[in-house]
Amino acid sequence: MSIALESSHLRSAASLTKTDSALPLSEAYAEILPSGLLRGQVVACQGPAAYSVALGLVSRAISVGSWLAMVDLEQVSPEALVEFDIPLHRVVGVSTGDDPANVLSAVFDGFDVVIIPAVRYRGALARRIAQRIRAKGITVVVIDDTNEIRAGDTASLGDIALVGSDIRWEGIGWGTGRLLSRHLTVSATGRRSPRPLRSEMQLPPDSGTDLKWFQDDETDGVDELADVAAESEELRWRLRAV
Amino acid sequence: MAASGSVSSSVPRVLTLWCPEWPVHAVPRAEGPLIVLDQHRVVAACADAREAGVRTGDRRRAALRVCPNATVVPRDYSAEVQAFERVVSSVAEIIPLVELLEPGSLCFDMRGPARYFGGEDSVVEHVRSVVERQLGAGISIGIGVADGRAASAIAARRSGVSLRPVIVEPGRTAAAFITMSLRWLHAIGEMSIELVELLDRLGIRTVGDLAALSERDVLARFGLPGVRAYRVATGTDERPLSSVAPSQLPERERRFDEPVLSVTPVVFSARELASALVHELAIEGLVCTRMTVAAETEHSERTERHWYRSEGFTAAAIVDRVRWQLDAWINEPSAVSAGVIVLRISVTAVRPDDGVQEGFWGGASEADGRANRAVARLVTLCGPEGVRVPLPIGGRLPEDRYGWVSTAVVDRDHHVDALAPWPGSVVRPAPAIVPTHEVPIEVLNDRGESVGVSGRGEMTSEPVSVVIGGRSRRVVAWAGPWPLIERWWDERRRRRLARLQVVLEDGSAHLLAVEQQRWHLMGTHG
Repeated sequence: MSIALESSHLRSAASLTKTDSALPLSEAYAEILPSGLLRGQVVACQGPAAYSVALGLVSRAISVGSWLAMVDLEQVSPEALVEFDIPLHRVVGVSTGDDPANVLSAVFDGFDVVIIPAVRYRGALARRIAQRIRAKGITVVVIDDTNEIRAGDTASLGDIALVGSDIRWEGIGWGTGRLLSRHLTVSATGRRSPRPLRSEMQLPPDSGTDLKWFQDDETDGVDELADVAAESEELRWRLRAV
Repeated sequence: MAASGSVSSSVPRVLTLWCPEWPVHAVPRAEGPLIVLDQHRVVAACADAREAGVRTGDRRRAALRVCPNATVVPRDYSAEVQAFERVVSSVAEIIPLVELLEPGSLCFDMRGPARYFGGEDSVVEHVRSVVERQLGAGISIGIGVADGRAASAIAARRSGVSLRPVIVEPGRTAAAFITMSLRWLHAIGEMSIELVELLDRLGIRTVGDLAALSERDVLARFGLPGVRAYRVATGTDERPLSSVAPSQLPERERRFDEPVLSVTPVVFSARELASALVHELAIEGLVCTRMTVAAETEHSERTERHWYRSEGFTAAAIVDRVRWQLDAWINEPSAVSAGVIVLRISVTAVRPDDGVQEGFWGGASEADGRANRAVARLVTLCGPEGVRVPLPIGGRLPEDRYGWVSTAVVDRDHHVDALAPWPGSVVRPAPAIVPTHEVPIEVLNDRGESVGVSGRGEMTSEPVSVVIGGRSRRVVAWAGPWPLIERWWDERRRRRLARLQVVLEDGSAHLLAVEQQRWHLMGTHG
């Protein structure tokens, strides 16, 4: 006898545990992710500024109360988190050690947002991770600064890829000045968006005049988009199974 | 004293049974002392550990310092409920409506049973004998009878210490508890620890002190939470009986088309039912304080339990209780022989929502609790070194300024995010990536020779390319060098280095350092 729960039940149950299906985003990111940062979604951040793009993406959600787990990312400096206005007391760093399957599933149980590096896991494990992400309704950000997607690694799970390009550093010259600020263009490519959306932003944001935060109060629209996203996701899984 | 003497007929007599240190009894007996932890704090300890000086609320380290040979186990609610199930069912055999408060504690209305058994003493005696028969010697129990749930919960705790049933005569609540610390009200969940501490600072330390005030003053100064505590203290507790007729109280049910054989999917649907119920009540401005959870299998096996929580049930609290109950049920030998076909959650008592919300501004939110539980679980999975939290430490170099520190040594209730200014450090923006081990690199000039920094802090030539990890990239902008001499007085830890910022052709920016004529990567603005 099998468990009599259809995936639609699973989805609605998972989304009900969380009050909203989308996490808040800063204004610059809202331009390129019009449906918000959806729960159950995997976002791959690529390019030389991948780490900053990822931190900017999650900062608003963490500062309003979600918890962030950073898995196997000891090299990320907490100082950068502070510059992105991420409150440190809601951040936990985890090393998976030699038991990635159990550690990751415990992480997915407890945190709303998880940042993981692009790692290649075994086929069965990668599938299990993907299922967990879907069922738990958490947002996973994969950092991939190598800029090439290899089949089977965590970055290939991405529903949306954010790539930072056209990076301009201000304040530094040829032997003069110092790094002051970085402006770049972040483009979002998803399986559903035919043309990439682009947005100019400064990462990390200015300390004095922080990014204006943006939150969509009309949850109806977001819910609808969440359904569309979930459906396309399901389709993708079916395709992968074939 | 405000209420002593006046017997309020609306306050029912309640018996509460409380097993002290229940979390310890749910753990299979092991050699040596035993400590149960929840979120890094001691929640229960066996008698040996208590003797050694372990106290509830101690941090793991403090507990292990006084009792180093203790076995430390994480709290497991499901196991506690499961272990308590035999107590509940034995009491339920003689008393019809038993309400579970938490694992290790239950209560029921005394009116009917007292009449049936002929007096409160006789009910207490019956309950004590069935429970003792179930648990055997060596496990102490507390039984308290008083006006209202809160007072009887206090009486039970007091009885758990004195090991004799405590029966408080009707209307004598305040007089009976006059010398007890207000922390007891916190222990039974009627008062937040902040309020206890605030009253403590104001010199109001015992139940008697609080009861001696006037209700109006308490309301004016401490608001609704204060009045709630005041009513418990004076024995006029028990929220005004709900005006909602029982038939109007919501009930939710999920029938499964195909019998479900595992707990997880049932809990999943419980989540759905719970949010719907909580939402429905919230529209009316109510919270559920008592509910009945029932599940039935294809073969008509049933589990039905009543749950009570004075703070009111959140959706998560409902789901937790459904999980505990189902776990206990299916693990009971020969209780379940088929899949679950129906799950029902009925609200049986409500009260007006007096604004005890879970963390909107500050306080612990649901997300905080979930994350804290996950952290505790992760520590058991990957060890204390595998779970780290970011902390400001202080220094001039990126690797010194902030660090990832093992969660076992950090007091996570105390947050410090910002760092005081450190003159001599490279200012914002900080490199996002700081290598955890030394990464040697090469900085070359236009002739392909290594660039150096002179003793006077000047570049020997202009850097043109940088080789990191065998990959050479052109420099498009650079700044520095910024020399730094640290701890010149310390033979072993002294450092003398110069830092350089470079932007490479792909737009990546790095902080480099030269130390004893060798370059290494200090950070990357990834």
